[in-house]
Amino acid sequence: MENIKSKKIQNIKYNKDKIIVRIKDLFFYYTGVPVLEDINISVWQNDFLAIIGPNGGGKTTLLKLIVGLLKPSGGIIEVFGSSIEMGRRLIGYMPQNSTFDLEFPISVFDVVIMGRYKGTMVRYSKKDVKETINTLDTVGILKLKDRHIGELSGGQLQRVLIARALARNPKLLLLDEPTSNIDTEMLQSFYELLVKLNKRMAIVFITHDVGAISVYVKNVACLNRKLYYHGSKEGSLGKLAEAYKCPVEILAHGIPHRVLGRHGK
Amino acid sequence: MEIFQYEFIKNAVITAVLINIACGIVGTFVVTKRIVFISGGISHAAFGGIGLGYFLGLDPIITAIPFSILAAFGIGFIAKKTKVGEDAAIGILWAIGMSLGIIFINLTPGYAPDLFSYLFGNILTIPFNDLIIMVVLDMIIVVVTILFYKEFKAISFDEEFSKVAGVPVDLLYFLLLGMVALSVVILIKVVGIILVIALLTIPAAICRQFTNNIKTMIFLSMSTGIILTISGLWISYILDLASGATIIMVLGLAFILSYLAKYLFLSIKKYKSSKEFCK
Repeated sequence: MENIKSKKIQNIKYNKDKIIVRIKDLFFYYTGVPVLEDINISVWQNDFLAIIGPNGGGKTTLLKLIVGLLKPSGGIIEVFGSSIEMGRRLIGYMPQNSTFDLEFPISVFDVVIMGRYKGTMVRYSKKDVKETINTLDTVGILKLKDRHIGELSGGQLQRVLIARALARNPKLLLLDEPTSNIDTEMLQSFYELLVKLNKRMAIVFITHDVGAISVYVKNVACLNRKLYYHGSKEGSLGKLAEAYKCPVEILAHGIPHRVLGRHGK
Repeated sequence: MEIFQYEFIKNAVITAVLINIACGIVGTFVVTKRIVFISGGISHAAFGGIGLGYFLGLDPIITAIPFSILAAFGIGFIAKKTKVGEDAAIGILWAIGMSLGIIFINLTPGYAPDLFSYLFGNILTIPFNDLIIMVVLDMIIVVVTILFYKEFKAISFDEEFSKVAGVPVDLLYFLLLGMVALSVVILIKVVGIILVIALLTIPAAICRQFTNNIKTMIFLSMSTGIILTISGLWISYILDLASGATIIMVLGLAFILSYLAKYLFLSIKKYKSSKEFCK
């Protein structure tokens, strides 16, 4: 039964510029306190969307709502034209790395193959093993595959988590603070990896590090309880200042890397 | 070994093997998923089932089975589906179960025979009937684990990701708690409800230090548990001490020694590598 359902989803033909995630009038309250208000956003096929915003702005909450770990207080989330439970089979999700115990007796390979989970009573096949190896290779940690997860550096662990999200060949990759444990020298190659992946899938990543909006990102949205969508980077900067409640100058870094126009231009 | 000529010792050795099959499997998940105190709560709540058995005039072990499963689901439900915290859920059901047991025994006319053995256990007085129950419960645990091994591993490691990946997390969590309940029932007669969590967790906690693989941890915990249980039994026989408590003391001592051994091993390794570095 489950297999039939997932096949049905995979057979959907994608048009260019097709919307894969549609969020309409989304509200989320946590014990009566509004965390997200009136969120409206669409993610397009092959999108590369960065969601920025201050800590506590609701970025992680928004991702958790998209993958169904939290239930909306109001509004609609549609994933790949169907419900979250169905649609999330095509999502690769990378949480912040604090959700599990690093002492857990498990190897890198065994963590990543979990991304290929298909259902109860279904064993991991030879294809699953092969895809897992390929994914480990893609993110550059194949030689660490038998290592215990507790014996990795922060950057290596981040790659393991990305590999786990990628292992199922998703059509949408959701990354929660992927750059938080990657040092500045590695950042360049990390973005190059994302650009490579972006040819195959849409990417949404969230960060509180504004410097992370590199030239590679296609669209930017700011989230601080309300969402301000900027579309392709050079958006209206007044909205950005409104979201952050601070001068936009802080957001834009040095001239050579400037992604956003100067305030008042 | 002259002590093996007695029938009750033979039964005790068989018991040691049977309980550690359950403990090796369930204990591994209990320790890695960090639900040791949920297991403690279930075992104490099971006392209500023991009391019910006395009250209805049935074998207390039989009534303890549905009762401890119910307690396990109760704790799971309160912890997962309400805003009451997990620790509060444990405390509440722990106390309610014990109280129910006491009230049932109060209501039962006459004296409650071998009540003490349910509290503190006695591996030497396990009747043949109980061995059969243990075999059946062991088989259930083994089969369920074989069927859902990959899911148990996934939810023990990372429940959130498992949910997103499509694992029926809640269902498997309750199934795991159900297996804890069955293990508790298996262990009650041996070490008593008060000491159940020791046998469930200590062998697994010892073995966790020496392996990075869940499957290895399960088999290692089983064999460690069997060896330590039989050693404890043997020491209790020689020193004429209560078997349940002696077994737990042996387990506890083994844990401390294994921890020190691991620490020593790591320090030597560190010292050696630093020496090589200086060369």
